[in-house]
Amino acid sequence: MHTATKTSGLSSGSRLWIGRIGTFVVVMIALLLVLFPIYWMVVTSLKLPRDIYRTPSLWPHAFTGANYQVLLQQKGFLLNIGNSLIVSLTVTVIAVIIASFAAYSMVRFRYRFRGLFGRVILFAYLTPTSLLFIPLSVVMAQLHLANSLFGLMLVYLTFALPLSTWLLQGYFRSVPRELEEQGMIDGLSRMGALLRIVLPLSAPGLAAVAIFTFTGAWNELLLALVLITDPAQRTAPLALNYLITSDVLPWGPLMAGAVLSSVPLMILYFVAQRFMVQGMTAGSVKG
Amino acid sequence: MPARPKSIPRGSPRLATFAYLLVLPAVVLLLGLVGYPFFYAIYISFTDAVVGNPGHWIGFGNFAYLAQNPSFLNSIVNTVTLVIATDGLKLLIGLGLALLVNRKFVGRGLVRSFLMLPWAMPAFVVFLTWRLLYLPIGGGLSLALQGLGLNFGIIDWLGQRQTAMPSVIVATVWRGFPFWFISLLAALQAIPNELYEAARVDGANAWQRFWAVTFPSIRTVIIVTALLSSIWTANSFENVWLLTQGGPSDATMVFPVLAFFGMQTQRIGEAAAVSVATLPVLAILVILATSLMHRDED
Repeated sequence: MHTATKTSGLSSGSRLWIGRIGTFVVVMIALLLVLFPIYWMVVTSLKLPRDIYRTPSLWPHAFTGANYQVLLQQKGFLLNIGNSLIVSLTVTVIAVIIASFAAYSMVRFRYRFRGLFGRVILFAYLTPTSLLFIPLSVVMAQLHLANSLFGLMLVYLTFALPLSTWLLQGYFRSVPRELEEQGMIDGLSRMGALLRIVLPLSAPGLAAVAIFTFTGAWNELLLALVLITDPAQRTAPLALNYLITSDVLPWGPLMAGAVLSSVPLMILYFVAQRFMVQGMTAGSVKG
Repeated sequence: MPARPKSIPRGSPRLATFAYLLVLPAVVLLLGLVGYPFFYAIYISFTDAVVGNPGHWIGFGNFAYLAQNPSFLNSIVNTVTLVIATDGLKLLIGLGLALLVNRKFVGRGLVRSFLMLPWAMPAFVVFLTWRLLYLPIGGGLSLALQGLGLNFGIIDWLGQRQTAMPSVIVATVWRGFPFWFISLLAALQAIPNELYEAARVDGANAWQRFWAVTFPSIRTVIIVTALLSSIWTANSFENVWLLTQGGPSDATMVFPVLAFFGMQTQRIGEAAAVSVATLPVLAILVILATSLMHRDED
């Protein structure tokens, strides 16, 4: 508690208490400001239309599951969730495998162009989608991959691959070289050392990287908006985006969609917080 | 301590081949998916390309057009405003909360988890939710202000010029401050306690201790976080797209949204020029960030 001092006229004890109460009040206000929008999202998804538009109030008059029913049955949101899952899971698996190889190579060996490759990966990580979405849409159209989930997976690698390579380098650096050498004395090949020793020892890191990569793909809107026109291929963010094009927005179903696409992720982050914080501060992760 | 990478000894071409083979898929994919489109974007910004027609080289024609286009000029001013305002606020809030949570108190871990939540939410969910909060009638913000006894009447937060940009800024800060908070908290926790004790023995008060011990220890983290956050905020699409689509009358127009609208009009040369025009500034930020983040144990 390094902010309590004895320099003023107050006794150190009362200064300590003022400090504690001040901290408590500020932290409570911050928590309130953070939690209120989340509360509002959840509560709106459970409100009847008349409670959203005609007699709005901070507390709902009655709870209903109707918004979820509309979203899932009339709007077919399960299809969108399915598309999002297929794209995000595939991108995650491919990115983590390719990135593991690349990161291991750059951490363990020295060779010409290694520094250059490292910089290319950082540059790619920091090159924003807002610059790439126009040329990518042209290229995907030329390859006849526009309007397909496969094309979407391919363009999502533009951010998934540099992100996971950059983060995994940090985790691999912390695996002691001696363990690998021991394994190779015991008869493992280089590849064996990577697969049997380095990857298992980096398991928490791999999990964090997989979650970050998955989240990045799950959250993506701009590229999906540019590439996908077929309603059957829409991902979850895209489907919700198209719900806001009408004059009166269907806020109940919209917030039901918001809850379904965010609450599982929020719980995952809450539970795996320790890994996530480590990964986030190690590599600085795009949000 | 990180192990130092061993250089591949001469006369072991197999190991060198192995190292290159491992890194090859990533490098090839990134050159194809990021490198090529990057230069292609620059190329088409110098053409009058439309969808389905590659067009002709027109030199700086698109840029000359943009230089006198009010929407583009607005978008640059708005993007700069958004970046400076949001990052300034994120720094203040993130650092303030990090300093508080760096103290020991009951439930500290739980507080940290809750403060991280906005960052764990997808951006599209956050900005859809804030659009609902900003509704003039029945919006959560107006109701909450009324609940606190602050009755401003009916305010169309996102629909009028004076409040639209501040509203976008608040929502963007809400979503982005946890990144600063967590980065700064981690940096604070890495400061050895002995430094504070030494400063205290020397008679430094809290303010002096902050500038003598805390600030120098977190300066690099602040710079890297500021660079990353600026790059991401300047290029963020979802916040403005889902809240205002750049309106009312360009009051919140930012260049990624303008480029997207340009794309929808099929004139991709002009649309690409919108993003490419910001490239000089982006390049400086990226090069600065890269030089601070790149670790190369040679």
